[in-house]
Amino acid sequence: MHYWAINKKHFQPQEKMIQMESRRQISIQKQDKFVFFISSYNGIEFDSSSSIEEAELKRTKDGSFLFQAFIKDINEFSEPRLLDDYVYSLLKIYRYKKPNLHFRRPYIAMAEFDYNTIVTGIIFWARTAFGLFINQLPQLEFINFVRQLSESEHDLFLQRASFNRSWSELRKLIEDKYISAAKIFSAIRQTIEVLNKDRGIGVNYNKLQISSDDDTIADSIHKQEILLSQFRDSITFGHNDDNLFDVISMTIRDNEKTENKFEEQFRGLPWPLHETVYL
Amino acid sequence: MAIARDRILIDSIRNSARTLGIASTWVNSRRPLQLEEDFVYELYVMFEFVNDLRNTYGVRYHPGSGNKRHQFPRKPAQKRGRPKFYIIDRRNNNTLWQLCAGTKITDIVQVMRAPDISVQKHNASDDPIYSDVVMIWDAKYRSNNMNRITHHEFSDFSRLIELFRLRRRSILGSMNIITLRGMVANCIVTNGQESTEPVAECLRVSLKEVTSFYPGILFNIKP
Repeated sequence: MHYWAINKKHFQPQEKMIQMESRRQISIQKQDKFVFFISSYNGIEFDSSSSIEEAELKRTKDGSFLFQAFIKDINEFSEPRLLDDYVYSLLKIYRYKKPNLHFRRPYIAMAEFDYNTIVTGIIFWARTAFGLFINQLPQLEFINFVRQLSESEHDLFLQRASFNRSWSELRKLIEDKYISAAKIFSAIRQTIEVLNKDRGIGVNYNKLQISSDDDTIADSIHKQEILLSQFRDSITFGHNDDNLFDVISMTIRDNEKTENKFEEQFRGLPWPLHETVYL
Repeated sequence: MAIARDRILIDSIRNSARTLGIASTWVNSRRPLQLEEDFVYELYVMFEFVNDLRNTYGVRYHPGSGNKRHQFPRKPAQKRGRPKFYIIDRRNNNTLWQLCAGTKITDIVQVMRAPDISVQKHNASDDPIYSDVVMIWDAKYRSNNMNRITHHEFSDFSRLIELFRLRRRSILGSMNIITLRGMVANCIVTNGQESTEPVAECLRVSLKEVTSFYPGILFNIKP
């Protein structure tokens, strides 16, 4: 039995039937399972699953192939699964920046594990959090992270550690580096606000910049402070303003069973990095 | 239902990661933001100092000139053209000292060195020499605030004190501030922890270590 992702546009599903004409052979067979996907403004969406009851491949007059199949009852997902949400949960994907590229063809073979992931709609939280954040680090910081880990947590590399642990380390780095930086920048702003009260001392906060003697471009303290505050604000979640990182850790813990299954499948694979991060 | 909540969570993670991607690089120069380069922490320390000075003195921001008039140095820079502060006696409006950040000073062996923060005499020129300097600070940011001031850093700064002939030439007593009173000395200021150098050595080289200097935390001074 094989597993497929099938593009609805090409297979024109009607009631209990799908069909497609192609110049190449189509190897989908009886009993194979599949998920349907469409290309929408949200990117690729998986919206349902089914399996092949009977399949037939005919030669047409012009020499191409006509594939026709009866399918079992379609299982519509309660909500479509957006490919973007599953980038770090599918074994198939390694183009993390443009995952759609993996789904350009009318039908695509999948691992059984990936098929189940889409049908059940379960996310590999540890790898998703790790992947989304690590790909946003500046390259220099990424290298520092690897260097630091190889010194202090070298078993992480030697023993193919879990993404759960890699995520924990990355979280620590982000908190130590950027949350802390955000606090320093805010403190500068607040102090200057105090200094400018009453008889101000004449500092125009918005004009304060940083530069070297040979720099032609200067950096603005004020602009950076806004961005860092936005980042700090982004780490709140839900009505109770919970810490997003805590929520991620809790979610990983609450889904221990499925997380462990994912860990097992993804063990030994390289970190999910954007192509641009590779050296 | 589970999936709806998952979608919200994943959107939040994605959004937060994207925000980090933007904030972790300086907007204009596109350089990675690295607080370990110390100059941002240095500004923080300097403005805390200015804030405290304002309790007892007049302080006036003095922009530099040209296109760097509001630009503090990212790394050692010429004093000329860079902004600084004047510390003023409120009673008679006389300038008592200049406060500079990251600008170069010629030492006793004719080498230019740039302490992170320096207090200079009121009449120090734009090409100051060691005898114009009355007090220096070194700002050291630690991304892991459990890390100590290293022996290396201690030695480097201690040598700087010597090269500016600042041993036992402190202005302690003549500068009167409140919150940072104990810091009227040559200080290494850090959000990290103190070095393992003995107090006697700090005294011998006229150096103080100011640790846990960070927003919302009480700092310590050794000795």
